[in-house]
Amino acid sequence: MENFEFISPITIKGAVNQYKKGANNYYLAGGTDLIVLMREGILVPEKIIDLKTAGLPSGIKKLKTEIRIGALATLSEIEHSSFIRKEIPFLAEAAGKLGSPLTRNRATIGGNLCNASPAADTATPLIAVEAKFILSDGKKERRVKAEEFFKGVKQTDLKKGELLKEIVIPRSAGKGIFYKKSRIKLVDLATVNMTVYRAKKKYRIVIGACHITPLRIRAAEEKLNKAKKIDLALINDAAALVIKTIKPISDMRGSAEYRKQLVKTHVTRLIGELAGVEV
Amino acid sequence: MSKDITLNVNGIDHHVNIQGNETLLKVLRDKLGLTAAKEGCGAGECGACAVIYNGSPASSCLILAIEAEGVEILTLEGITPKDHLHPIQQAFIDKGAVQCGFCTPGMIVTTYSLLKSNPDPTEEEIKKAISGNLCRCTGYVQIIEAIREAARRLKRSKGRRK
Repeated sequence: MENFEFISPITIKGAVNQYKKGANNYYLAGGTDLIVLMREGILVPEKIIDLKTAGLPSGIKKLKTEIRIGALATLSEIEHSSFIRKEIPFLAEAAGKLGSPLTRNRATIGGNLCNASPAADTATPLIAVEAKFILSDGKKERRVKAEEFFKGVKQTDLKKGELLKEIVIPRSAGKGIFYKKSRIKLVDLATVNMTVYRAKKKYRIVIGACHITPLRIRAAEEKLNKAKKIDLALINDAAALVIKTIKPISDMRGSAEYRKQLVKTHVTRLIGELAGVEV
Repeated sequence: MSKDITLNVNGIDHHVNIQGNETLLKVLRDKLGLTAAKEGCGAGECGACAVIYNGSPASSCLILAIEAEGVEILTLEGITPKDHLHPIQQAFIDKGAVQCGFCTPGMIVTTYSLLKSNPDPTEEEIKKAISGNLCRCTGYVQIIEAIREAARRLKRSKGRRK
């Protein structure tokens, strides 16, 4: 690993100012992605700006109408939070399936999202609950929908220097299910992952690792939401729309064909489970 | 950049001069002489470098020494009593859970943390807890047995103290 300047800003503004001073500066949160890339020589930053001292909101806050998760909350915190487990169990499950316990104790939800892998495990549950991300440039804040945050492989809506500060999740009585398929049961990255969510008889379907970003499949949702009664034939139609929309690639974790088959099988299963239809 | 920092390791403050690009693992091993934690993969996948960081096990190969200032760090050296082995270490020996030994310090650090928060883990909980610690020799069966045995012994010794 090449040497760099290490900066511990004490405010978000200070962090952003430092970041903007060069073209090759990086924010550090848990480090479980960044430091791997630095060790491999893929990234050679001039400055590392440690966000852990920068006064970002921490932890998980339960408010009357929303839940707020600080960007620096670790995946372990989310996995083990009794409140998250009760209210958004599929998010706790997604967090608990990312990497190993050693990784989850350091890796942050903000890092997982800003790294913007199409297979990011925490992305599909957050898109499904229509979470919003609070982004800060040190002066102004703006909110962006989780779904619109992801712009491509490793690309986000963040402008230069802007950082993810907090995640806002509306409280709702909806029910969701997260599913992740990986080559081995634990630790591995997702071959596919997905969240299917149902609130007030409306469905949301979000598929990961099958497109340049995690993808919400509105056509399939509408198919289900318009129907008076949900039966197996309708679920199969919705699953076919999902398969039509996704554009998986073939890589070391599985072929495009295999991914489509996985998605078909499990999106059918998940919708069936939420709709109370045997599939 | 280089910097003088204070690292709190095993309850002792160590004043060290470090380079910005040195990992916590490198500083523990090369500057503090604490060589229990090992570098296996260097990418946070094998767990040989596990230390208890701020109360939870973490891969010290992916932590910069410079970000560890002010954090309580516990290594296997700090878990091992001065004049005898820790019950977890003894259970690993008794159950044949050590072959080449390279993964053992990380395994024991992870086990120590598991049994602290969950003194009576199920086999599934053990497997999940050590899922980030790879062993290429034992096939894990003896390691899981050793962890169950360590849990029994720790419970017994706790019972005796009451």
